[in-house]
Amino acid sequence: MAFSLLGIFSVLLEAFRPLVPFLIAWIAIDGVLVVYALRRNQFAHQRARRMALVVGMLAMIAAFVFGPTLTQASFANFIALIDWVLLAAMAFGVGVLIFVLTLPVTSLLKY
Amino acid sequence: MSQKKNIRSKSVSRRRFLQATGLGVAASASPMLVAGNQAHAASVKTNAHIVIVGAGAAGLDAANRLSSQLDGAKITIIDSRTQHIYQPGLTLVATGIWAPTKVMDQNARYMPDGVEWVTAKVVEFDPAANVVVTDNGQSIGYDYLMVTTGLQVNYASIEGMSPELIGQMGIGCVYDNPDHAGRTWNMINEFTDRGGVGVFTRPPGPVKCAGAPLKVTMLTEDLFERKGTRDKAQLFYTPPAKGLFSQPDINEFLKEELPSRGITIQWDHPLMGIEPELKRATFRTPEGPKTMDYDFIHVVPPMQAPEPLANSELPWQEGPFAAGKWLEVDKYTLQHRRFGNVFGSGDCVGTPIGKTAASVKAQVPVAVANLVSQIAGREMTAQYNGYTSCPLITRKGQGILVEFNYDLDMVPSFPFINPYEKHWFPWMLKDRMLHAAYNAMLRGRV
Repeated sequence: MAFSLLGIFSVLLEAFRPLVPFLIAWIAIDGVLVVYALRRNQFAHQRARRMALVVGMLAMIAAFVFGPTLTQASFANFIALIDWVLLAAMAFGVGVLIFVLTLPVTSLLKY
Repeated sequence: MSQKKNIRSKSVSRRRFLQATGLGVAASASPMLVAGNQAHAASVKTNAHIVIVGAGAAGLDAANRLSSQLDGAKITIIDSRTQHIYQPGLTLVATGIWAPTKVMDQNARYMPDGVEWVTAKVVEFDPAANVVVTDNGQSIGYDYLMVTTGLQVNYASIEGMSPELIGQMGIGCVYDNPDHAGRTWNMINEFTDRGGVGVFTRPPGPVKCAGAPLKVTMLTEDLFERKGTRDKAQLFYTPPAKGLFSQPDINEFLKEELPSRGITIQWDHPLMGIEPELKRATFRTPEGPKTMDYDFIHVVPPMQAPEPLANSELPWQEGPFAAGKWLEVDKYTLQHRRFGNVFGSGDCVGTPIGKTAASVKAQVPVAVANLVSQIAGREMTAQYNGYTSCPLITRKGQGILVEFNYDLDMVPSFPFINPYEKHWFPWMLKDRMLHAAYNAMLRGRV
């Protein structure tokens, strides 16, 4: 069954619909913080990147560890390699998302 | 094991192997983009009146697609139901994995702007006069008709059975609504505590989501395992003939899977009747009627087109779909074979396969595209290839993703997932993503 890009976006929108207001608020706040950090010329400085990376990695590990539980399953249900690969890919995606969303906040940290 | 290997070697064609590689990913991405573009063709100007009968999955999807693809049309959808049920989730409700509220929604959330919603029930179709009649006596004329009525579960065709019995005396039935599924869960929960003889039936003829009776069987067995009471139970699956599933590879898979889990298959056992007080079932076997005592029975009654449709001129008059009074459509174009301004999609249509939400997703764009083409005076080119899909849940946390077409060829959407091996991924799709995909479908977006 083929999905268009718009279709994939629509499915994700439906899947995370309850979280959409929260995400919009977070992105809006992040936007303000990015502008603020850029004006002070301290957006994504090295320490900020490192901190955001740590938070992103923690989120990635948490997503990997708790991913099966969130689907009412367990690691015992992982038989094929592809399940592990897909879980790792999903956890990586969560980690990147959290990194991106956290970077504007950590940019406010002093150099 | 050897059989599994055979199945696998048969399935892994060179094309599928290439699809599983990077080249395949790139190749399979292009039709996705093409399909997306087709769905957003320019609007067709018309003042035609289109009536959609039924606001289930197919009806709402059709209403959304028609309202975005037509400019100036009057679109009327007729259904008295305000509640919308996510029916693919009923197996998870019946096995205690989801709460009933998780499958309950409101039709109003998906009703497109500008579409007239008549909250009544169609009781009569008169395709010769282009009119439908509602239960409040209203006659509604149309230029084009989209029939999306769904189907009717015939409890009365099982002697001694009625929907009121679901949730009592060891009787369950996953079909129809979350109340039935919830009451079935009460029975399965008790049964898996106490043990005994469990009988899981499957009727002859087309049924909505033919995988559901199998899923209920396997999830019940899994629950016994998880509760540590498996040794207290004897489980029987009773197909009406000598097959478990229409797709041959999956049929072979199930013929190994069920016995490997101690589920005895009783071939040629269509259920004739039950005696609830005695907890006794009677089957029509080739050797004559046979009775079985049970502690729990999952009753799946035969299904047919709803009465108003069945009693009209619209059903098949002869052939394999005449008995169920299914809507007589061309299996490719989904246009009625005798009334050219009538189209259909969803559970009510008489096509060889396809009574699943996934079929609706594949059928509605075709039926709508062909209806729009007819309005525009163009040739109808959209074709339904029989696509259907079933995330066949084998136990809580695992399943196989079954997708096939009219030719019974497996057509996996995810070439990197082996459809013959149990995985977590299909379970994750079922538990987390497919409801979202379904809702997006109702809005006409996928």
